[in-house]
Amino acid sequence: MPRRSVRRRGDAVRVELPDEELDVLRHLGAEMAGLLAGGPPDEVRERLFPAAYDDAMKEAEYRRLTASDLEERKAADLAMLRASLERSPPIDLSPEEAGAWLGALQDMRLTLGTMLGVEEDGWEGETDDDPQFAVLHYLGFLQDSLVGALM
Amino acid sequence: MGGAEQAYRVVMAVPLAPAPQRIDTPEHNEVPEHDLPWNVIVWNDPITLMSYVVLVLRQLFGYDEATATKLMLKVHHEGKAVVACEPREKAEWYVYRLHEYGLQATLAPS
Repeated sequence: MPRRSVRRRGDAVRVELPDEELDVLRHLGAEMAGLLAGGPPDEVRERLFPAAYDDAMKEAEYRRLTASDLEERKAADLAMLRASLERSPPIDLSPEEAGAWLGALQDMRLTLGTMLGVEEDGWEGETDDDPQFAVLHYLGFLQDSLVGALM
Repeated sequence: MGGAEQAYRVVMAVPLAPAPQRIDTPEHNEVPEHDLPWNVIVWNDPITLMSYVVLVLRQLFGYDEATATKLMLKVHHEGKAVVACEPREKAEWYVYRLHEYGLQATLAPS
């Protein structure tokens, strides 16, 4: 049985995953990078770059000031996750890298969940055996493990 | 900010009303607009893990686990929760940071 664990090691978080899971993450990382670079579909974009204000003028100003920073931040988190996945395992994440993983995993989950049409609480129990949702469940497990190691 | 301008617009909007006795000017003890409190609101999102929301609230606002968990549960059960109340500039910065974390967050006057 291949080892699967995410645990604190001093300041670092050590990620040990079976090779095929690392491959899945590399693949998803590449897909996500393509999506961000090419401009995601509107409903995904609204999820990744939500409105801050009800007021249209204040919102436009918020966008003007923050949109490019937020895009860069998401691309940087993803790039850091992808770079660390190229190191030979086990992968030890610095605190900065662990933060980038959390952000990038969150963006991947928001993207996948939105594309799968998740709109209400309680979907987890109903989609346990649905292969379409397998990756979303898996990324949730991974993100939760990382949160557990960091708290 | 805009006190005199606002009064001017009100006057122009009712041209047939009797001329106002005087145009109110802001009181000196009024709080400047940029210091008025704004609520930082986190909205429920069915995709986001509850444990992740707790971590974000702890990391960003420095809440202890009990406080962060209580706020997360309020988001989960009531659809949203005010997680901080700050002058507008600071509140907007928090919302931006929450957007970096990938949470659905807005700000509104308190």
